[in-house]
Amino acid sequence: MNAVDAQANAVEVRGLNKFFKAHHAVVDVDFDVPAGGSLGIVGESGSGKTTIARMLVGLERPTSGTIAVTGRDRSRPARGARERGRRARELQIVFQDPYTSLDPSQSARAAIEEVLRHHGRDLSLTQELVDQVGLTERQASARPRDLSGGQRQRVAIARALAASPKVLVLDEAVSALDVSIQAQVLNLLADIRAETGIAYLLISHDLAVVRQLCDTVLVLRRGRVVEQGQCERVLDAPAEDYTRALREAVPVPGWSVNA
Amino acid sequence: MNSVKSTWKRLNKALGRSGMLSLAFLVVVLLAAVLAPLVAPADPNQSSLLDAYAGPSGAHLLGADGIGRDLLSRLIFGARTSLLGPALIVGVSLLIGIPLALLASWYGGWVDGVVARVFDLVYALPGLLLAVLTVALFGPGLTPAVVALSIAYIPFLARIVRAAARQQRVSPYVDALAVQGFGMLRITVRHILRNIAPVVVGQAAIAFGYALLDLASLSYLGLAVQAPTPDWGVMVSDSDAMLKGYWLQVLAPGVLIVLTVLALTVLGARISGEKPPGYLRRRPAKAVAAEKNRTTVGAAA
Repeated sequence: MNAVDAQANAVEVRGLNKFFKAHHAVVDVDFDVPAGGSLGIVGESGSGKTTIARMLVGLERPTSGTIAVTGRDRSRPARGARERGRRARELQIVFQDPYTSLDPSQSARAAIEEVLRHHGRDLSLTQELVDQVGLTERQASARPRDLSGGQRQRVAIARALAASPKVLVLDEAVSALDVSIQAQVLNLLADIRAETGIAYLLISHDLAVVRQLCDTVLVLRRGRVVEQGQCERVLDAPAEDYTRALREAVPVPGWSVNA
Repeated sequence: MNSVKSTWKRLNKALGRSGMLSLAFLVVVLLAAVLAPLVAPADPNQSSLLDAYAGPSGAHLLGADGIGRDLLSRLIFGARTSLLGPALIVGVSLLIGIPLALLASWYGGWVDGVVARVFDLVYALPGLLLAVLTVALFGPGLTPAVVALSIAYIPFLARIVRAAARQQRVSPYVDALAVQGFGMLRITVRHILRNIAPVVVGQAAIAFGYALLDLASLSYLGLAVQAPTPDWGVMVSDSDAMLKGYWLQVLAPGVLIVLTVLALTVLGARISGEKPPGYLRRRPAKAVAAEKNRTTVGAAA
């Protein structure tokens, strides 16, 4: 890996493997996310998508392989608070379930301020973040239990952005939301990317979501990469049978269970 | 003024009728204990043989004991030792138990295994037996009894804290905080502990009641608080009075012990979020009206 690569790629994953006892959950996975780019990882349940996300953020330790974010290796657990803080400012995550990913005793504003303070950023940015994700004053002061799923996910996005990361991992971040709210949050994410130039790594089982938000896509099956490439190419003219099967499993008008 | 009113309203809603009654009773007992020298009508240790076993009168509202000490004053001063002991026991066991439980729930794996087994081991030892053994080694008194019961009460509190903290530990919000770079100490104390606080406080109130009962039992056996210090447990053990038919001497402190333990248990359950049993619940007027309506409609059909 030379210096030019490190500049160009926000995330570089090489030969990533993860075993859970005898179960080989992630098998020799390689991928890059260019700086400011957007990669979608698709696959059915149990294909290893979330395990990859958890290894990226440091919640799971890879069995082998390397993960580099903005050119810095993070295959080993962080040592010390300074290293933890630095990694947090490189990459953040938004989890699937907006109901459990926020501290129930903390208002949105308090959650954002806590992160800003932790990373030594100006507290006046709180208002900016609240506005950026489209929360009202009242919602920002409310506890999570008084917010809807979509509003909670906006809070989770604002909290992740408070660390000013270069990469945001979206682990099924819209799949718990209903369709109209999904569209709003996807638009919000597209706007944020256009404004800040942040890179996305979107994990989803929903091909429509990936198509809307991603430049490139990687298809995962039983922990292995089946196919990867430009989003339109892979989704419109898949080279692999599995990708075709995934695409055909999406309900469209006229689709029936027997077809 | 408004904020006082809204706090009162919220407290009322959270604790319910039985919880508020318990709280009121405990506040009165606590105030009596703290202000004992001001509110007690007489010196609790002032004896007067002329008043021995005097019945309730203007001079002694609840009467006097076998050596003429004012019963009401002894009850009021007795609240001090009767409440101080359990407070120490619960305080010490929380101080040791909470950090252990939080560590176990955070690290899981073998750390959790070891801590949980130690809790189980101590939990299996009857607290009173441990206290009796300690007293046998170090002699009777409040201190050895409190030390022994503190150890015995650690698992009683810490097992609940551990279970509640484990539930929080696997919550994605804890993962999100870890990804933000927050350390174990910060996440457990500022987030996990805050979210399980109602469970901890509720369980502590229940433990306080049990500790009061255990200490009273030990004092009754003559192993903890020593006469002539006024203490409810010691007063209950005055079998001489009972044999002579002066039942108020024994009944009054006994009733106080029972009521205090009951109030603490009820309050603890309400704080932990446990619903009161059906017969204690006041049903909202709306629900009652709806039910009435339903039967009318059913009858008409």
